[in-house]
Amino acid sequence: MRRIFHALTVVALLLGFYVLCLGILTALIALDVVVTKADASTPALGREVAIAYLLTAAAVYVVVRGAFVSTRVRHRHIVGVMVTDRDEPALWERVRFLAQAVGTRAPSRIYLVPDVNAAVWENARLLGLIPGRRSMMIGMPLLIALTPAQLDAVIAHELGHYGNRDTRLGALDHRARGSVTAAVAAAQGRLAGRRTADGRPRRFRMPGQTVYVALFGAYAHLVLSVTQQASRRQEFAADRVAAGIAGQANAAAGLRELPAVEAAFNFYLDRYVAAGIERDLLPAPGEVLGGFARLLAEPTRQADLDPLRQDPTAETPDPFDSHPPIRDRIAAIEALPPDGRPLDTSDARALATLADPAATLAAVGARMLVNDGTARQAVDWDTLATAAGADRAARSADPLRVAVASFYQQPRPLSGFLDAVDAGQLGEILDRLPKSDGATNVKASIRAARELAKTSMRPMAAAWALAELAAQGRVRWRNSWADAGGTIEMAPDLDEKLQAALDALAAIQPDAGPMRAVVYATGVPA
Amino acid sequence: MSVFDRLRNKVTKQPAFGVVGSANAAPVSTEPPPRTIKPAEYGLPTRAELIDLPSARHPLTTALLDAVDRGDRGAITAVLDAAGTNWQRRHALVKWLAIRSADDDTWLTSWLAAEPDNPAALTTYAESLSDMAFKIRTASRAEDVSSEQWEAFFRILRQVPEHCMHAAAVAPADPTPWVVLQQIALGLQYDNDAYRAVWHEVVSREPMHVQAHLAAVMYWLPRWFGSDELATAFVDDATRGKPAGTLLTQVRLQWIYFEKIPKTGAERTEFYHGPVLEAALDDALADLRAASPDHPSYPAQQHWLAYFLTMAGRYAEAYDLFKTIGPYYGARPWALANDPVSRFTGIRADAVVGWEDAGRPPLP
Repeated sequence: MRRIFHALTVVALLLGFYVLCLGILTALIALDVVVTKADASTPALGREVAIAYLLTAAAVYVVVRGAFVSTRVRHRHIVGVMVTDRDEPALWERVRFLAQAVGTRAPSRIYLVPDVNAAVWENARLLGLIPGRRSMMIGMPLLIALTPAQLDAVIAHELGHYGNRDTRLGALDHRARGSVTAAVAAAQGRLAGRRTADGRPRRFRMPGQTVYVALFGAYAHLVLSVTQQASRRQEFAADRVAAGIAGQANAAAGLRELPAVEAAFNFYLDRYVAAGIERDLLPAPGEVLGGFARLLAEPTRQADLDPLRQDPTAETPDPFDSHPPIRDRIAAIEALPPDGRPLDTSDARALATLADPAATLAAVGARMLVNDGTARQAVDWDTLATAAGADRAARSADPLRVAVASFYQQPRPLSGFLDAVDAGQLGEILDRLPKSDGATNVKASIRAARELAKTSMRPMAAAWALAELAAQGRVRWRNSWADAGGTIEMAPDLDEKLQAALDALAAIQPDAGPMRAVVYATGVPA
Repeated sequence: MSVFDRLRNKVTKQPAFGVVGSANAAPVSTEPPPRTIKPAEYGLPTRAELIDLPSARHPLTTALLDAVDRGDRGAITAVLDAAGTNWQRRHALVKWLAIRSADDDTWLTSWLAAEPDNPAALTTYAESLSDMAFKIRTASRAEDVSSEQWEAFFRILRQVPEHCMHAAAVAPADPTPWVVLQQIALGLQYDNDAYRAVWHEVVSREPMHVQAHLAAVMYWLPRWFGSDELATAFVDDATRGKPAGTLLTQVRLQWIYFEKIPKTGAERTEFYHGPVLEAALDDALADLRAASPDHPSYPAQQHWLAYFLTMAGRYAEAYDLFKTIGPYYGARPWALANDPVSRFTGIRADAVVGWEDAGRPPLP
């Protein structure tokens, strides 16, 4: 009884939204009529009339757009690959099986996307009152990281939002929440996919827009808070469905894995894929996502992720996100009576379900790279690591480079620094280095301060030399999945000579000769 | 550090020759604030007249520093030669040269460039580097020293022994390079056997070297690389059978100051009036009386005695020494305090007041 009352409330709210829109438009048109009549009798009101008409036009535009937006996520806005059941028969069979087990319609489209995400949505109309075509997206990182059973649990959970257990009432809440959020976004002019040239969301500013946005926002807030409780319950219900289908242990393991995969994927994109971005270097399409699999295969990385699995804490609470904290969801699943189904601890990953994993990885990976049209070169991981290593070295050397440039009043290469040392002017350069915290404790003479400064100068000079040697090709970095910095590769005697050269630079009587010999072996500065 | 900190005398002073590990050395009295005196009434200089030196400058020191200011290398060497085989005087002069090079060492490096085999130049250079390294490290406790400071400290010290060895090779009879190396051995954390090897080089050339003994006793402290037994044995060895006038009793006084004074109030008072200190002070006084005022460690002995005699309540003797010391306060133990001037005037006032309270007994 209570559920029917709740469902009626939601329907009333959604219909009420249209009533509200109609009300605003009616009020504005009435205002126009009044103003026109006043203008007819008092000709001097011409400007006010124009304003009134303009306001009405704006309102019509904003309100209509907000009211009739659909949650249709346009095909062209999805970054990923759509796969038919001819492309991926095993995957489709699995999804259909899960949908049937959950007791709902299977989606009619499946997209494979390069995000840590799995979602089912409908192109619903009238703010979710009328269901539409159902689509699903599955993140490739999930296929890479999760076992088949864990992925089953994740997909079953998403389908569970539309499950027959709660019938359309549960789905109604889900659709409604999606719709009103989209309506607010539309009113703000922020629809998915509309972006300016540099990636910022384009905003159309209409006169009076803020007022309508505030109104819609308040209304949306109302709908969301009314549906919040039910939505939360539904989340837990969807989790129970998932646990029933994939097994309690696998469902819990899947949930634990999600924050770990998210953290790992963000780390991977930031430290590996984007490593060469300043030089317009990228991994090959097949490796963009393939590398993630290699990263996860590295034992030390798995160990790094364990704390995230044991203690899934960090969650950014979004008031419009109905998902309860992952910790609570795991606890709820683990509180269920044990079903005796074993945890899948094998090395099998859901990726194997795909017909041709390598080709799909490459196809989705290629979609990731098509963005702003900048010509970027695809290189292997070692080349990327070398580029990143050289950039990192150059950045570490920046304070020293700046000090040398300040000394000469213009930028100079490493040879310029060495010339200054030979001229007995290392002290002046050391004076220009930024003072560390420790240095302020030492109330020392200039001489002592310079000696102290040599401590921070040494690693900067080392980095500068490395950057120079990298440019000459005498130092490389090899990609390492265990260490984002890569492993440096240089001839062993080169390393020894470099250390000795650094000692000579930092000596009480500095000598730039050995460093010159190491870096500019031919004796001619670059 | 704000103006208020300065007014409240919270300025931390860095001691002269890198006293390491003695952040809490001097136990501060918790008794009520001492009465003050009018120094002039007692034949003592006022606070404004005090000078941050251990004593009036020795004529050789004055001549030496004049030579440095004039840039006269020949004169520098002449002064050092005038010290002859008075190794302790020579060591004191080298230390003055090193102090003079602390801010600007161009005269020293050009001297060394011009005369690369001059043992005085080499030893001075080594001492100067050692000073700089310890100044970078500061006298803070180990945990308060930054890694940047440590790295510079070790890096500099590692480059010094070669200069000491070079000087020792050119002037084999002179213990001064080895005394400089002694301090570096502490900084570089030589193990006991390696330190003894350096120590042997020193005492085989000058067995009565007071400054060397004072440096060594720090090494043998438990807080550094020794132990209570080793330190006690070293101090006993330093003072046993040494004739009066060698001023080696100073080693015991310094050791007592750093190691033997109890922390708690009641025990401390008891110690100051006890037999251990009494015997040490009597020996030190006899040593002072027998010593030549020309001995480089003579002023230091006076200052240690003035301090301890006051703490021990032997006010007449203490007051007498303060009169002899005059305006000079730049020595231990005053130099170890946060505010050396106040420490000096405070103890001095205690001595005089105590002497007054005792009814002005006759001075020795």
